[in-house]
Amino acid sequence: MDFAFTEEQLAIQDVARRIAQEKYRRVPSITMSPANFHWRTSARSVRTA
Amino acid sequence: MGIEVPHEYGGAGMDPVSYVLAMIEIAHADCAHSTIVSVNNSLFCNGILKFGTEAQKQLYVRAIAEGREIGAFALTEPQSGSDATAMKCRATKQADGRFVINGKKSWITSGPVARYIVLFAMSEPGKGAKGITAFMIDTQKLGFHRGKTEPKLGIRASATCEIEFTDYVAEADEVLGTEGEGFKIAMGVLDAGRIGIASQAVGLARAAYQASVAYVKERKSFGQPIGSFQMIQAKIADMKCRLDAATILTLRAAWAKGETERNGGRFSTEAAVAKLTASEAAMFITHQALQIHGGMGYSKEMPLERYFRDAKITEIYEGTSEIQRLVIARNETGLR
Repeated sequence: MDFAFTEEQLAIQDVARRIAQEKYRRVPSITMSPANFHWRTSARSVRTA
Repeated sequence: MGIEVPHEYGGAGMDPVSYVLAMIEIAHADCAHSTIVSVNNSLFCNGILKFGTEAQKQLYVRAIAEGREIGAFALTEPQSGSDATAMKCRATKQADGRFVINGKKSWITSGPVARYIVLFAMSEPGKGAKGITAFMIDTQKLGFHRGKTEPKLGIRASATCEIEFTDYVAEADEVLGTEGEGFKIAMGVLDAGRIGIASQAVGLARAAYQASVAYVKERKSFGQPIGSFQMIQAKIADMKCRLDAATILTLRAAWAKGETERNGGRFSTEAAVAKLTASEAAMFITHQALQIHGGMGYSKEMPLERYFRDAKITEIYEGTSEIQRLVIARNETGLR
């Protein structure tokens, strides 16, 4: 079994990551920014920033 | 929507490993969206590509792979889940070769929005599993009805509903594969589907794990980051081990699927091992992640509670964890 990935495989991984994260940022209340994991920072205040 | 679908049918023409890598990224952002991708690729397109006619591939696969329509897969019924041979949905063959379909199917992912559905119905009730036939359903035809959208614990962005057939007429050329081949098609398609669910579980688990690692370094308690406490460190270590095991087993299953496409054989054990390990890892990791985040994990302002709710379904659909254990043990021992 070969764990090395081909350029094509890595390319589609990158495309999927970019599209998913782009869509994700557009959705309110579920932003993934590390800043949201500060325990006193609400996701709501971050998404409007 | 058609990562593994060949270019000639409107897809990206990629291999199973590419599919897993893409699914992990999508599920990392949102599990519900990866469910839609999984059903389209694994359950819908995969079965038609394997068992469909050229005309069926051009009509149904192209529309889905190009993202113009959504596909669905209808096997489960209100009284028949893991025991698919107990299905009540009937397809009665007419003298002219057409089939009249009557019955209900439940828990149909993308059911409220699907244009085409791969349906499994009993065409010869006395024959058990060999009496099941697969049909291509056009939801715009007469006799097809959708029930209410199910309120669910998780994956809420993926719509699920019951569907009903009342004297729905399927033409002879809308049979997928041959008559009586439905159970074989369903089981073959579910092997591939399980790799999709395993990928989804890995992406979801990775999101919860990464959020936890970031949080334990930042959140302070008793004057130090909570990540410096051994009880938290043990959680992080256990989460990491299960995440890596799930990732590698899922990639192994994708690799095995690619091998069987080139050289023949089956990959049902690898798929079941990946699905079982990854879904249980996702449940464990999201549970621990929520606990690490404490009150913030319980809040809807953070994604942790969503990860936790979304993880549960991966232990249920496309074969429960109990069914995966059955598949693995039967394949290993040869005993029924």
